[in-house]
Amino acid sequence: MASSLDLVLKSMRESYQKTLPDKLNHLKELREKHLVDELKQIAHKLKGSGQSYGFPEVSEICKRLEMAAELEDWTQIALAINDFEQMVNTL
Amino acid sequence: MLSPHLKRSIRMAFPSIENIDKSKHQEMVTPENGIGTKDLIQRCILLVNDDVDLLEMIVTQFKRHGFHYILAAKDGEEALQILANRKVDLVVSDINMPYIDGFQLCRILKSGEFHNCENIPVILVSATYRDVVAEQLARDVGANAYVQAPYDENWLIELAITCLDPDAKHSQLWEILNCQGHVLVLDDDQDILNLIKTVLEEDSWRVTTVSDPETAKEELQRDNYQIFFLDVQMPTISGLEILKWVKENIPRVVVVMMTAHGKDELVVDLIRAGADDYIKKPLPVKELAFLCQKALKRYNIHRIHEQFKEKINSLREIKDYLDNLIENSQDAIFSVDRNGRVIVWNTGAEQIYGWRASEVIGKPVDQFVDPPDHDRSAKDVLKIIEQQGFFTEKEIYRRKKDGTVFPVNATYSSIMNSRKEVIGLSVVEKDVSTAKRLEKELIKTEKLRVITQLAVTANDQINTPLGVILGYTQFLRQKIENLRPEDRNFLDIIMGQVYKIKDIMNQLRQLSEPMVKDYAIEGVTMLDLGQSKKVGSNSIPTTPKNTVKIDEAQLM
Repeated sequence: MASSLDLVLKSMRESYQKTLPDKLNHLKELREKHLVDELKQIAHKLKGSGQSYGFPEVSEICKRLEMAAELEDWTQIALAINDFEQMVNTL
Repeated sequence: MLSPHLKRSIRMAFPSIENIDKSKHQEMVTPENGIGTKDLIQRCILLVNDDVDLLEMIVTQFKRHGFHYILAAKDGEEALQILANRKVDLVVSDINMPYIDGFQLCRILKSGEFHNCENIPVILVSATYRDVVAEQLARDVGANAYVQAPYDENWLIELAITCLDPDAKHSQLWEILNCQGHVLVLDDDQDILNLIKTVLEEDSWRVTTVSDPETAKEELQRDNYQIFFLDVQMPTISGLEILKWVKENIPRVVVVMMTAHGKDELVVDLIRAGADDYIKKPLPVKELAFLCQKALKRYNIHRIHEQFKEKINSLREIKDYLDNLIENSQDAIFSVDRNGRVIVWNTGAEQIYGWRASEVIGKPVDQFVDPPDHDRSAKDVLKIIEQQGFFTEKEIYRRKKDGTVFPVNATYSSIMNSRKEVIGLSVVEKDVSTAKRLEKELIKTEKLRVITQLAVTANDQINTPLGVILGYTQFLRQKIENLRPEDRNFLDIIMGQVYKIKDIMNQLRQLSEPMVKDYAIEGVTMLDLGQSKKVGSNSIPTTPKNTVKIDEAQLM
């Protein structure tokens, strides 16, 4: 039997999942505008929140994205965002 | 490991003194206008207190508010007997009681092992335990509330009603009762803020979230937060800087840093900067509540430490004051332990007795103060002290280091420990030798005054007959022509003796009107006496000084 905390967490996880497409669009927009600092900041946040909400794959991809943004490696940035999109689509 | 019942009980607490606005609870609560409904006042309340007068007072307070079903127990043992046999809805217990105290009683009830009592709300009330330690102990044993006495009667009643009322969950007091503590979270990620807030509120924590550092600072200054979750990496300012600001400005708050970096060096920097704890992102959400419990304990330890520091400082001030008082006293002040050994020996004692503190501390006082023939020891005095608390003695004799015996007025008082056992005695002694000397001189003066009065009287009374004797003797000497030489010689002897008497009387007259510088009595000068008539400059005689020798012993 799930505890009340488990139920709350399940509900929050679902809410968070619903926000992921918007987050993806935001990442794409930043990449297109070449706003690397903002991109790094968002990646850093998603790295922290993803696994906290029960999405370890979000944290893992955004860790790579943050590192690529740090190096201003636009190829790796594009790859990471692409992975993020695939992950969102498969959830 | 806490039992589930106890864990739940801990969650139920705790109306901390800090976060309750008592002014909101000042209105008289009555069954008519308050939340004390008819059902509530029929609930059974067990009041436990070993002080019969206080117990009676609390019973009266509850009755005044319409409660009729009240049981009373004079200690924890009796309370347990009642609880084993009767259905009780609320326990309001004193803490400091013999046999089973309030903490133990609460622990037993909340253990889940005693007659299904684990869900009975317990309010602990104490005038003895008044600090954070007691609050923490009450929390740990699962009390629903801890109230320091003296308390506001309405406040206690409303607290009791809230504990009893299953529908009170909407009330502000219920929220306070259920609140574990107040947490502030600063993070620029709204997802993280939402997550922490939701998880902690589920565990009965009051949580405020902010994403702006300046707002966080304002919040910390405005409200009484116990725990501050602080993100290390903020866009405008580093978490480390905010941490330093918090430690400088609101050091009581426990700061838990949140970091997504996980670098060893960063952790070291954070701890060095004063962080109390840290968690790594991704957040271990199911551990957040435990982390807060840990942080709250740390917060309480901070407060306990602060309270101890305050108490120690206060005691130090009192000690300094008393030390000063003792050291600057002109009287001898000393204390001895039960074995009669000197513990305190002030400067006054050093000056009066001539013994330095370093010479007497730790040694039997009797060998330093009592004359050899004194047959009462410090232990004898202790026996008297134990019987009557304190006593005073006037003009008893002591012995100085140089052997001089001198009189003192002494006051003896007992020194007791916290268990009211006599552990020694303190003595305050006033050297009265100067007063005694002045007193003796006053007596001498009084005697001298009597002598001079006698001299005046004698002079007046004797001079006249002497004049008659002298006149008639001279007359006889002149009128009798054929006076034989031997008879003339007799008359001359008579006249000579009369002159001698007159001379003595003259001296006595002068004594009755003494000139300050003219007379010296062995051991006492007329200046000392202060009984002589005021001498004007014109009356200072030019004749050689006469000295009337009076043996001082005659004046005694």
